[in-house]
Amino acid sequence: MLRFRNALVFISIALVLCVPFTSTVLSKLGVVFPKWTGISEPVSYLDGGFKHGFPQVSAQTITSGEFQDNLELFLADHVPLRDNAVLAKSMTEHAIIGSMAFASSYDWYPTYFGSDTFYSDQYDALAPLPADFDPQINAGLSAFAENLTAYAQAHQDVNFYIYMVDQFAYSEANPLRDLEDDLPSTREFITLLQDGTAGLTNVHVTGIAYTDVGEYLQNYWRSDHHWNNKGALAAYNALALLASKPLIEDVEFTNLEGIIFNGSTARYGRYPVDEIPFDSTFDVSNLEMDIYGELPPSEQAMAAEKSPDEEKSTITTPQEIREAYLNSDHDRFDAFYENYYGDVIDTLITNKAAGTEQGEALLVGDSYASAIQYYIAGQYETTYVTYELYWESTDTPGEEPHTLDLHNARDVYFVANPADYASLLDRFPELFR
Amino acid sequence: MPVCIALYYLMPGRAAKNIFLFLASLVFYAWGEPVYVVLMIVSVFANYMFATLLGREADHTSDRAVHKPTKKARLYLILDLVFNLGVLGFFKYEGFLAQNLNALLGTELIPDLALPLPVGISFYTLQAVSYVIDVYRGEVEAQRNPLFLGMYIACFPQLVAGPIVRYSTIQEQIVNRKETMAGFCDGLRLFSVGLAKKVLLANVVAILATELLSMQGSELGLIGVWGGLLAYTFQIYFDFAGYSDMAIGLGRMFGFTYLRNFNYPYISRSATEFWRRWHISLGSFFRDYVYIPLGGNRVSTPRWLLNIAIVWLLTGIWHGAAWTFVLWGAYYGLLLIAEKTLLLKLLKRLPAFVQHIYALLTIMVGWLIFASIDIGQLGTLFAALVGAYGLTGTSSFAALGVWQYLPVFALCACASMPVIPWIRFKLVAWAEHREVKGGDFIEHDLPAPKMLSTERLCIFDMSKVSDVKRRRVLEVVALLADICLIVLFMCATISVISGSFNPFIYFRF
Repeated sequence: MLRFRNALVFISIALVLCVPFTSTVLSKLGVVFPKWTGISEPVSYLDGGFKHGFPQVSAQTITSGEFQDNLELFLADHVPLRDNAVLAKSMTEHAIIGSMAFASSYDWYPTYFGSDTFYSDQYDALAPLPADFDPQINAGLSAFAENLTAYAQAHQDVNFYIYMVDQFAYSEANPLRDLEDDLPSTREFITLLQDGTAGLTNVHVTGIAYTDVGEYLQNYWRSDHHWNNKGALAAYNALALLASKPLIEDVEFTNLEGIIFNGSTARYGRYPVDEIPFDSTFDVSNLEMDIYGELPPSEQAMAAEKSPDEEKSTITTPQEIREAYLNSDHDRFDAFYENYYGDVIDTLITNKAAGTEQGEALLVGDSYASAIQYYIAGQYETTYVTYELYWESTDTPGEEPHTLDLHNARDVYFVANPADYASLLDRFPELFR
Repeated sequence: MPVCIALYYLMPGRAAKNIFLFLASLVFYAWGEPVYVVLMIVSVFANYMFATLLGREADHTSDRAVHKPTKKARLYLILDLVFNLGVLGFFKYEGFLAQNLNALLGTELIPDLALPLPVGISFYTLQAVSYVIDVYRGEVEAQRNPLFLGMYIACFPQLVAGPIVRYSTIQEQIVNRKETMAGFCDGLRLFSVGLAKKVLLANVVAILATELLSMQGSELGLIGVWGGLLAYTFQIYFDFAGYSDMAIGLGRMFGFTYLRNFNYPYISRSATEFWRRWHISLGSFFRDYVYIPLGGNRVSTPRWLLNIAIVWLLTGIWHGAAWTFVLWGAYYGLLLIAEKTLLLKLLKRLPAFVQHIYALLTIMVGWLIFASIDIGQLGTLFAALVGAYGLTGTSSFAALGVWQYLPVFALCACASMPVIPWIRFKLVAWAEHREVKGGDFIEHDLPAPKMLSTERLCIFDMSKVSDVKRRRVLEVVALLADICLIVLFMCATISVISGSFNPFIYFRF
């Protein structure tokens, strides 16, 4: 019996220890593992990115410890069922914390020990811890207001509409704000921009600052930091009021059956809430998109992986983008938001149903602009969409710095979250030149 | 690790295995300390040189039975100590010395080099020192093969966090150890237990301890500081004991038998008993190489008190170059003096649970000093500890987060007591039809203070069970225990690959 027990312990532990190494070597040799193991998958949906490649070996990387750190990450990525194991761990911790939260009558509690993401049974939703006060955000917003003021004064014939997105981390609707004092809020940021651009008739600053968590979760995904179609539409209507454009009220929202969505908050929180996403019935059939810009860095590798041998198509439609996503294989943690709406890149959207009198618009946005761009584009003959507010975007050293190209737009929309506004001029110092 | 073990067993002969283990240890060390590995190699060869010279002097001594070191031997020993303590002092205390001296003099007399501390230097330096002193004393022979000595000093299982293995413990094993399948599997079991302690317990409570004990007492209040302190109390035990178990287990896989380093310290009834159960290899090092050479307790009372004070100040400063560690050492020095002179007699008259509470409180206060960032923060934490900032300070009960960890605390409390060995003890006694008395387990089984052998850890000894039916029951229980261990190992592995919070608390050691 002792021999049997010894053999059991030895074989079991040896298997656990050897599998990552063996699977790494076999994948290097070209062996393709079944999809459910996750070994041969190039991406980790749970981590929301590509798996680590084999690290670069050099004296410098070894002495700095960079090689060792990256090799450990590389090996960890080749553990079979890694994402499932990681989820199982956090779900176990979540159950322990949940039992104590139940006993303490706390509705919102961390998704695992040490997690900055909280879950509510009542709302079946996730919320991040509120962001602490960061003087850089205020300084960045002041700089944005100052530069925009000068730019708007120089372009009196152009109207600027600034929409401040109510990200959960800054929202007064965030139920976790009770845990800390002196937190910044979207409302304060809106006021800061309004004060910074006061007196200008061609600059309009707005934003919906929610105060009720239930209302907030009607307009933003329960598992993601982005707004949903209702939230984007509400934002459009707020902008439309300022821009004297027609309000969009006669749309319905329909579920996208067969799709399960767990966004960034679920990924960071390691906790799936399995949302069924929905879309509005707003007619986009007249919109055509000419993607003429470079993909943002995060998208380039993904696009190359998806179609390494194909030439990139530059003319598409919102419908094609949506259908391409709906007809592809899905993981519950894949990036529904950016894949379904299309990520924000340099794009010209043409509205075939509009006349020349409807003119031209420019939308400068971060990822929030993806969901609102079609509502705006529906009101103009042509709408340029640029991605400068996207947080990863920055001037390339050695190349001509970005400047704002107005084309012939008389209406310029900025749509982004507070942090992206605040960092814009650090990333594109010459944007308002 | 699997590759290293596989290659080790493929090595032909003892010498090849030893040399491989030395090289593997260097690779392991270089993995985390690619530059300081050179320091480790220098340390190995310097100590080899001094020990060889000391060995030659011992050979020249006419009467080896009455070992009397020569003047030359004394010189070699002093030079070796200067080298070892000089290297340790330079890397570990240069910044501390510079900061304090410069602040005292109001000028930059010594530059603060802010050197990163080589990992494990405090452990391997003490191992090297103990070896050279033992050679000087004639208690062990100098190792003739520098690579074998290198294997002893740099041996990777215990390199980072101990235990401090004496050369005398493994002298014979260097050339005469025998690896067996049973020993290997016992090592695997112990390694799994250690990994689970570190990853599943220590790392989890560390999240709370790190967060709360980085705050000021005014932010924490009574609940926050006690919650953080309890978390730290469990963290440091399961982290340290976990590493020791892994080291002992890995050693066993390579055929070595080390001594225990932790023996359920939180079941102690006094601080004196705690230090017989906590980091045993460090306590015995200071006892044998500092306290006894100073005269121990066979001196006048003032000198005895001074000896204790010296030992504890050294113990404190060994743990880190900061005033909090000096204070921590002084705290234990005073506490042990008080216990030895008066308190222990009083304590013995009290019920056992009161003694346990006394011990736990004194230990936890010690950890508060140990964990504090500086003396200023320590003051606020102490004030919070006695309720000066109310129940939750400026935070809310929900925000402190202590409530989330209550089930983990309960689990840690069970795991820090010898519950499993007690069940095993009872089962084996039942199977042997043996009656057990109340104190048998604590006095004679695993938790007994003198039970330093690691041979019986993780083993179900059924050799004396003759009742076939009861033996079957034991075998089934043992099988279930092994399955639990495998599950624990898998859970710990999952935790490691998920990139969970994994603090390294020995960066100041």
